[in-house]
Amino acid sequence: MKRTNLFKLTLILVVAITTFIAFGCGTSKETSGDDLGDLGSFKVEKSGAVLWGENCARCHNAPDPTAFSDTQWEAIGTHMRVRAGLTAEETNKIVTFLQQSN
Amino acid sequence: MMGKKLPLLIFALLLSAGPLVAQTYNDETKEELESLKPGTTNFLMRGYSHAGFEIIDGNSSFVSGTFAPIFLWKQGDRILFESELEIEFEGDGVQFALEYANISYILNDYLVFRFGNFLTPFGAFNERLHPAWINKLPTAPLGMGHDPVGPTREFGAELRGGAPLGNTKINYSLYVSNGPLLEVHAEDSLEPPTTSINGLNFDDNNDDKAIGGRIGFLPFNNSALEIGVSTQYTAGIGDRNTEYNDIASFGYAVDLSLVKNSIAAIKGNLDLKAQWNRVEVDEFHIELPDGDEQAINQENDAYYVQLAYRPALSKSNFLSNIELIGRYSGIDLTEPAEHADEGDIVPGVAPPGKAKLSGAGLSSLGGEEEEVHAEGDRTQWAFGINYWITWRSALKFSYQVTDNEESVPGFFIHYALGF
Repeated sequence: MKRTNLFKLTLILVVAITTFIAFGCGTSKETSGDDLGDLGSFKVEKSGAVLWGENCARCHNAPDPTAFSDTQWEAIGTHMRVRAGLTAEETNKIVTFLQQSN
Repeated sequence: MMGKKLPLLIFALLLSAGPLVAQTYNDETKEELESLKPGTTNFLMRGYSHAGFEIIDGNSSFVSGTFAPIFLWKQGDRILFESELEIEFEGDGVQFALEYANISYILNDYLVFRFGNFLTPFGAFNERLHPAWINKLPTAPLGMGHDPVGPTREFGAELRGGAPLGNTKINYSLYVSNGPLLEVHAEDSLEPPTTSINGLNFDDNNDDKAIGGRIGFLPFNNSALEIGVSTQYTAGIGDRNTEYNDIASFGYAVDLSLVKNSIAAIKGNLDLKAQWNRVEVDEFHIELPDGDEQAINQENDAYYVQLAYRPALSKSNFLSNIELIGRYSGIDLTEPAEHADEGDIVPGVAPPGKAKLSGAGLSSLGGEEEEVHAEGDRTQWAFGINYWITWRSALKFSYQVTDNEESVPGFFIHYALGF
């Protein structure tokens, strides 16, 4: 790889990651284990709504629950489970949330 | 007497008929609901499309984009069939392509078995980010689209899934496939043979299978960051019973995704994506018309970094739907070489019939002694503004400059739709 290109790439990556660390990498209050204080060692059970926001947004905008029917969300949930490497628990919670919100 | 009893009689009749009417009504409703109850087979067509207007190096044209339907059949709780077609205008006609078609069987909470033709989990862009409504810019990063460095599709079998690790998470994929196919074409005795590496090895050309996989690690509790490492190795990519049978191919990729929504300090969302692909193919030699042999050596790279910002927390509806994107990408091919006697690698000018690129990898000719870029080497800056009309449809405006020996500007207006 040409050195100048590698330098540009590294520079952009460093600036971008620094931006994130400065502005965005703290966990949100809704999902942070810190909210539990002394009980922070317990695993936080996330709701389907939280998982929907966190996982879908990794690749694309979080979908509108009203965009599909309950049955359609079943197929989409399985499709996304395979594609994005979601666990069964995450998939079930997200699909249930979407079905209850459409 | 009868006149006094008549109302009572009518009332008694109505009272006794009530349950009968209600029963009939309930039965009808039940039947109606039963008819609407979904079966165990669940079919759905999704997909994406785009259309637009482009000015590339001063030449303008409307483009009718790709229609890419995705078919999903879910049978029961464990079986899913997925397939994607890509239909687009090409030359004077319409080109149909089967992007993938595979069957997944869910083994347990953390493991899925999949076989058939599937997108290669080599980096993240190819498998997850290429659809027009997901890719934030109208074009793919250099080396990640239709001129890829690295595999894009496999004919094989795969185990994949995801699992929590305390407050962190991993996802994983391990597959065996036919792997890439090295093709050496001798058109006639006067021209040097051409070579290419093709990912569409659907009727395996030898008995050496590719082994590959990807591991993604999400260290933050909120899944904001994912770092992925992918690899693929094939011990032999040439045709069986030929001198090219034992030529090995090795590729690896590193990808990064950092997404954080609703950041109060900047009133919006940040999305950082990056990926680096590298493919290496064993050196081999082809015989030239003059009887000499030419060394072919391939070590190719492609990379990109993309940052997007959307002021989603803005009080203005218009501003909250705007997204700003910047991307830098590049593709580096091994330099071309002049032909030489067997064993020699001489840097210099690419000879006629130099390798073309296609499918799962890039092919170029060359040695390693000199930092001279091949014809296909490029870098590119791209900047875009998107307006999100809905969560899955966007109007994209972008400007990009691609540098090779000269700069080629491009301006794009695309409308992308997921459905």
